[in-house]
Amino acid sequence: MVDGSARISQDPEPRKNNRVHPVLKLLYKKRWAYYFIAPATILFCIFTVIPVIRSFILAFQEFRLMGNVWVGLENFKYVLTDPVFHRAMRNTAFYTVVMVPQGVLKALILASILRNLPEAVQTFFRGAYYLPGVASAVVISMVWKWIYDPNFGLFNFILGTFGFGPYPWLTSPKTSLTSIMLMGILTAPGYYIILYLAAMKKIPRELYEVADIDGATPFAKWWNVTLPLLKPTTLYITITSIIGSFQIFTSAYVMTQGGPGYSTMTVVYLIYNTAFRDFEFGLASAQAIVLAAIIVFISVYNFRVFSTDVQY
Amino acid sequence: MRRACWVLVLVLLIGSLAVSFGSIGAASKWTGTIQVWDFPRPAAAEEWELQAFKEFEELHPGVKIEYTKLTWAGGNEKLDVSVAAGQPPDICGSGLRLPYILQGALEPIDDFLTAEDLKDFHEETLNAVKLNGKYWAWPWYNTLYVMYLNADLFNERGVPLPENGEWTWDEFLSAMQKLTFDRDGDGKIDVYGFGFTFQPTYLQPFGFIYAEGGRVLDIDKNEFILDSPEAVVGIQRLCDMVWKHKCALPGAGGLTTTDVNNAFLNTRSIAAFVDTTGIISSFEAHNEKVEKGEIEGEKINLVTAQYPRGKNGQPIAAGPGVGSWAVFKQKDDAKREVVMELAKFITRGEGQKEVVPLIGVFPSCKSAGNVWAGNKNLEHIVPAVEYAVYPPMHPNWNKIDEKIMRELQLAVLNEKTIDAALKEAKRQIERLLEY
Repeated sequence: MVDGSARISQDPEPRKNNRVHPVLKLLYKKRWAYYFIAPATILFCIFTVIPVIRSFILAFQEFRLMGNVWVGLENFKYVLTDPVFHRAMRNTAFYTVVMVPQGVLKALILASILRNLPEAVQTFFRGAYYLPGVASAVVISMVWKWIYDPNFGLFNFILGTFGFGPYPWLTSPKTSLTSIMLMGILTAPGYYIILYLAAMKKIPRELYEVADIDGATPFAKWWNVTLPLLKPTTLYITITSIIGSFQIFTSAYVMTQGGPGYSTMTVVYLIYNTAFRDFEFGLASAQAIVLAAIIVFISVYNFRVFSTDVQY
Repeated sequence: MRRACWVLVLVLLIGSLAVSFGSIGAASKWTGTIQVWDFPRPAAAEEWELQAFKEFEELHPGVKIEYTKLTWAGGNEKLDVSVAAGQPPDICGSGLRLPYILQGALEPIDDFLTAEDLKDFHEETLNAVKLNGKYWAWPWYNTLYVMYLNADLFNERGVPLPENGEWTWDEFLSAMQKLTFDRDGDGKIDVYGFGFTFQPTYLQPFGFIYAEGGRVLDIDKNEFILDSPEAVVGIQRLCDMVWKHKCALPGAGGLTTTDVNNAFLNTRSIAAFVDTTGIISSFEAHNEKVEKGEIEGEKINLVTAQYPRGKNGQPIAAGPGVGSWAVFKQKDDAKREVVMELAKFITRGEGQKEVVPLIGVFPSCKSAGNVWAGNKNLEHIVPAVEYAVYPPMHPNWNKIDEKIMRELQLAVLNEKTIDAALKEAKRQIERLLEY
């Protein structure tokens, strides 16, 4: 057996173009493609990659205006022993555990109902459900803050006409987080409905025809045909909504400022306070890295568990 | 005659020598450009500042002032970046930040403060710019919280307004109870006497705590003292207004300051609340818009008052802070002297007399006198200025404040006893007190 190096050494006069590395050759051959992706890549590096690296470095430093100081793992030690971070993490995890399954289920059910409606009606509902997603989260939170007002809010007014209340929706630590969650629960997940509808349209009609021949009920078709074939979409929606839920900020910021007490303190709101109120950018970076690590772990776990028999 | 000529010559000689020595003295002083930054002020106050810079330039030939107006939106970041880059301005209005002191970016002003200056500035005002035994900025004005009263609601309920804006705790409580009522007879309270909340960075309710001598920190001993009996009295009074006397807007502790402002101005569901004097102009603007028909609603008949006084009968005031001019680190001793002179020139008592009313605040020094004489809303607040208490100058104040406020929220929501809340706050801030 003769290996490649022996073959090269046996070649008395290697050809000139052999000196060019194959990778370089490939790069040259596809150079126009690289020219086209270069601007986006450069911008991505400047505005995403470099800040992420910088933030990672900052997590091991104490931010000082006159020059940062290396503190090793001190910021991470502080984060992991900080009771406020623990509380924020518990709140965020509770929010995620409730909001993600209900959001996915709600989108799936609504999309399944819409799918059987005429195209015009579908279009109307797609728009109607998607519209709240276009509105600013701040505006929506402010409207809900008024709805929840303990003295003059819509909810307490309605409940009052039936002799109930008034309830301290946002002003009691016992109900504030669930009230924020209720806002999310009562809002239609328009974007996810559209994703599900698009995925449902891609399911071949023949599969339903075969099920009809076998005498399957509508629920059996939905359970045995639709649901399994929507698995890639469900996985995508689950992972993106987990990431979104872990990053909950606006409603806590606008509606409760993390209170009363720490009852609605979320991890991202805590990071925001640490960075922009306390100017502790090193500590804030460490908090962000811990959050990112948790999100990555959960996403990878989900991907592994749910993507075993996913067809793409 | 000859003698007279000689005397004249002698006088001229001495005079010219004095002038030349004087000019040598002036020449030894620094000349060049001073970078001045400041945050936006009302237009008239900005005009006053520009005029003051011009006057300073005329008094100091060879010194030029370059003025940069920061924005409220990005000014802090600009200042931070400039300090981080080692290119801060020479002097900045509202530029006093604890991190700047701790990281050596600011000049202490002690060597330039005369005994007269120390006597002239209000003691609490000076304490608001003092850290580790040194003063770090030239106090310019005091921002204070005042109590805003809806005079129409007082009249509707036949409750007399406090004379000269002064009242005791009992008088205040009695008024708030009378102002809490069910207007439409549906068995539900429509108007509450008072509205307040505990929210981090907003110290409005703390005037009630300061009234009997309570304080948050003993800055000299670096100790938490909000659990002192004097402070607890104030906290108890606030909690009692909600739960015992039921004359404060429910949910205090879960509300935001915006909610409370809204309850006063828009829904008119509270008769009194506390905020800075700066918002008087927004009430005036509201009334003007209503008058012109630009917005729907009613004009608000506004009256201001002091916090209710404590047992010692002294007025009390609380404030979010002191407006000041901070001088950044200077390499050149001669320039430092001129920049300090400029800071002193801007913040001098005579100047405060003119500019402080334009900003809508209170002078930081006694020599400025009562700048609000004759003003129906602010004249009676002036006596409280020298008793004003400001947030303690502690490097970790933001965090300490948050931890205290969040525990007080739970106390005022009746989720915890005051004692338990204060114990928890003390436990949490223990490690923050060290720095």
